Amino acid sequence: MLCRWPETDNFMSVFLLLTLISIFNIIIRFFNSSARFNSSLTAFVPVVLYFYLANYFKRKKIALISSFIFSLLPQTVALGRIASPVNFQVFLFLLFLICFSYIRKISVRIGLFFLWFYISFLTFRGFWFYHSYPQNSVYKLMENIFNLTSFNLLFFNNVTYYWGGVRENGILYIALLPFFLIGLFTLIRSKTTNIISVTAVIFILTVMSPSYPESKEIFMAFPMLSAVTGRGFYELWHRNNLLNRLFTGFLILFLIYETAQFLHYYFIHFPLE
Amino acid sequence: MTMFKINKAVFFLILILSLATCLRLWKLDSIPPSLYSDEANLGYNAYSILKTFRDEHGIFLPVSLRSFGDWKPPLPAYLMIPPIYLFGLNEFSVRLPSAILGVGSVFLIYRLVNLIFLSASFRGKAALLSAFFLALSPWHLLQSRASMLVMVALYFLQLGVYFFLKGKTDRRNFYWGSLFLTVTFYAYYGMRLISPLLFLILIIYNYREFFRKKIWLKSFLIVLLMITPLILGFIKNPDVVFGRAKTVSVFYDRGTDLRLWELTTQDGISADPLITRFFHNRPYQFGKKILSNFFTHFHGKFLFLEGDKSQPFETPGMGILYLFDGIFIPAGLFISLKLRSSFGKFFVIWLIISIFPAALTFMVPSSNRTFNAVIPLSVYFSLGFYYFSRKIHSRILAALFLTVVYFSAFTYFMKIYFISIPENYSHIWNYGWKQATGFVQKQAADYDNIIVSDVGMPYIYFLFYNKYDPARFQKEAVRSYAADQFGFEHVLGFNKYLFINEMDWRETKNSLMDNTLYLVHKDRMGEEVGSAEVIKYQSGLPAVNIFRN
Repeated sequence: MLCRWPETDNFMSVFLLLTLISIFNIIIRFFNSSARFNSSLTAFVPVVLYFYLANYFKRKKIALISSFIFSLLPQTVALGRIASPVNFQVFLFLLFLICFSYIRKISVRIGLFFLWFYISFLTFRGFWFYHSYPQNSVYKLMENIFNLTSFNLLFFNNVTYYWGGVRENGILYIALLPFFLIGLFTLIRSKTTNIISVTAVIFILTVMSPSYPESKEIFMAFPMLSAVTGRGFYELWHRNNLLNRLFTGFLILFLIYETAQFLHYYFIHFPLE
Repeated sequence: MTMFKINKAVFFLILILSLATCLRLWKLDSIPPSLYSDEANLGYNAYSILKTFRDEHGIFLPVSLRSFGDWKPPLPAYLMIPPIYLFGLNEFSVRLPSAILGVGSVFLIYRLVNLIFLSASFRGKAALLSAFFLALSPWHLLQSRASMLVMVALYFLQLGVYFFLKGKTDRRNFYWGSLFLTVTFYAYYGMRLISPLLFLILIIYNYREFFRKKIWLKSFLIVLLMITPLILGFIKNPDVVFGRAKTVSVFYDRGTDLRLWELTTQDGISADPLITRFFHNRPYQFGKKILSNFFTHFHGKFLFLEGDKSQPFETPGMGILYLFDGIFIPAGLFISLKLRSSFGKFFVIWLIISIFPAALTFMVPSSNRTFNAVIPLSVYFSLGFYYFSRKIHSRILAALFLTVVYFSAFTYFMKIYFISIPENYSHIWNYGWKQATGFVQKQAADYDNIIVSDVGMPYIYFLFYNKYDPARFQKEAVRSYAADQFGFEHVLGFNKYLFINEMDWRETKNSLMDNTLYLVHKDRMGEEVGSAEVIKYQSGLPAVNIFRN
C-alpha cells in the first residue's frame, strides 16, 4: 500500500537546510506580527512541501529549492503574518497530497479525498464552492483564465490578493521568471505533468469564483508554482556550463534584491498606502 | 511520385496565394470604410513627391517624412508613387502597395519555412500551413488592407532574412540579404532596432560562410551605403532618426517617474539617502516597466479576446489571433524548442526581437509595433497544427472538425471586418472627413473662411480629396511646429481653411465670424444639437456637424 520514502543519504544536510528554511520563515513571520498561531503554522508549510516534492521529483535538491522559493513569495510572507485561515488550508492540502502520493489503493484515495474535503469544509468556508455557484459566462471565464495565466499577474501585479493586500509584486518574483519557464518546459518535455494538472484544477476553480480576481483558491496553487520554479532552477544550475551558472548567479542576486525590495515595501510603504 | 508531390504543393500554394490576393484586394478602396489620417498623409506625401519631388514640408526627396511630427519612414510613400501615377490619388492607390506586399509576405513565409526546416520531414506541410495561416490571419489581413508602415517593413524583413539564409548555398545572397534588411530602416521606425538585432543573429548563425572571402566586408559596405542618406539626414536634424522614438518612449511617460517620486517621499527625510536610492531608482522601476510591457504582448486577452484597443487597429469583439490558435501556437512553440536544429530556435529569437521595440514604448499592448511577430506565430501555428493532426487517429474526423472550427472563426472575423466595422465602427477609421471635404468643395467659393475642429488631422483630408496642389500647400501651410501631448504637430491653416485643435463649440458659437463655414467634429460638440448639415457615420450617428454664418 505504501511506496518507499525517498532516499535520505544526506539526512543531516537536508535536516539542516530545512531547519534553516523554517527559522527564516519563523523570523519573517514573527517579526512585528501578532498572528501567532497562523504564523507558526505557515512557517512549517515549506517543510510539508519539501516532503511532498521530495517524493514527487525523487530529488531532494529540487524539493529544498522549491520550499525555499515558496517561503520567499510575497503573498506567502504577507498571508503568513496575518490571521488568514487560508494558510491552514494550504497546510492541509499539502498533507493530503503527501498521503495521496503514498497510497496506491483507489478506494483509500477516494476516502482520503472526501476526508480532506470534509475537514476543509469544517475549518474554512472561504472557498466559493462551499457556499456559492460558479461564474456562468463563458466569455468572463475565458477572460479570467487569460488574466490568471498572464505574465502580468504571475510576475508583476498580483491582483488576486484581496483589496488592501500587497499588489506591488506578482505571485512570483521577476527573477524567478526564467526558472519558471524552464521548469514548465522541462516538466512538459519529461511528461511529469501531475503538478501542472493540479495547478490547472486550482486555476479553473479560481477563475470560476464569483469574487474573482480576489479569490482565495489561488493560494493553493502557490506551492505548485514554487515547485515548477524549483525544477527550472535545478535544470539550469545542473547543466555544467559557465554561462548557465553565471546567468543563474545573476538571477539569484536579482532575487535577493527583489526580496529586499518587497520587504522594504511591505514594512515601510504598505502601511502608508 | 516526386513530381506529383511537387505539383500538389504548388497547387496548394497557388490556391493559398489566390485566396490571399482576393482577401486583400476585394473592396480595397471602401473597406476599411475610410482612409485613416496616417494613410491619407502617406498618400498625399507620395503625391507631393510625385509632383514636386518634395514632401508636404517642402523637403527634397526626404529620408524621413516629418508628416504630423511623427517622422514617418518614407519607403511606403515612395512605393505609392507608381499606383498614384497610374490610378490617381485615391484610396485604392494608397492601399495597393500594402496589399501586394501582403500577398508577397504569404509567399515568402512559404519559402522561408521550406528553407529553415530544410532537413525536416514536415517542412512542406509546415510551409503550406504557415502560408495558409498568414493568408487568413486577422492581424495580417488588417495590416495588409490598410496602408500601414509595418506591412512594407515586414515584407522586406522576410526578404532580407530569406536571402541571408540562402547565403549558405550561394554567398552572393548575403549581399541581397544585407540590402533588404537595411531597406527596412526606411519602412518602419521599429526596424531600426529589429533589423540590426536580427542581422546580428543571422551573422551568428552563418558566421563561417559570412566571414569568408571578404563577403562580410562587401555586405557591410552595402549596409553603409544604404544608411548613408539616413546618417546625413540625422546629421542635419537628429529628429530624422529619433523624432518619433522620443515621443512614444517609455521614458517619455511621466507615470513611472511620479511613482518613483511618491515612494521616495514616503521613505521620509529621516531615511538614509543611500538606502532610498538603493530601493527606489530609475533602472529598477523602468526595467520592471519595460519587462512588464514586453510580457503584456503575451496576454491571452490581447491575443485572443480583445486585440489592440488603439485606433485604427481595433477589431471589435476579437483578438489579433483566432481563439483556437491559443492551442496550436503554444504546442508549436514547444516543438520548436524541442527541435535539435538551431534554426528551430531561430523563430523564438525572431519573436522576442519583434516584441522588444514595443516594450520600450508606453502604449502597450500594441499590435502595430509587434507586427513582425506574426511570422514566428504563423510558424508555431503550423508546427502545432501538424503535430496535433499526427496525433489524432481518425484523420477525416479531425480534418472535418478543424475545418469547421477554423471556418467558423474566419467567418466571424469576416463578418466583423467586412460588415460590422463599416456599419457600426466607422469612427475607428476617421470616417466622415471625406464626406465633409466633398460637401465643402461645393460650398467653399461662397465663404471667406472655413473653420474646422482639428480632430484626426482633418487638414490632410482636405489636401488629399481636393488633390490640392502640393507646391501651393508647401508655401501656404501655417504650422506652429509645437508638439501636442502625444507628440503630434498640427497644421493651423492654409488658403481659407483654419484648423482649431481644442475647439469647444459651446464657446465658439458665441463669437462666430461672418461669412464663415464651421465644421465641428462630434467630439467637440458637447451636448449641442442642431446644425445646417450633418455628416453621419454609416451607423447613422453624427460625425461632423456643419454650421454656416
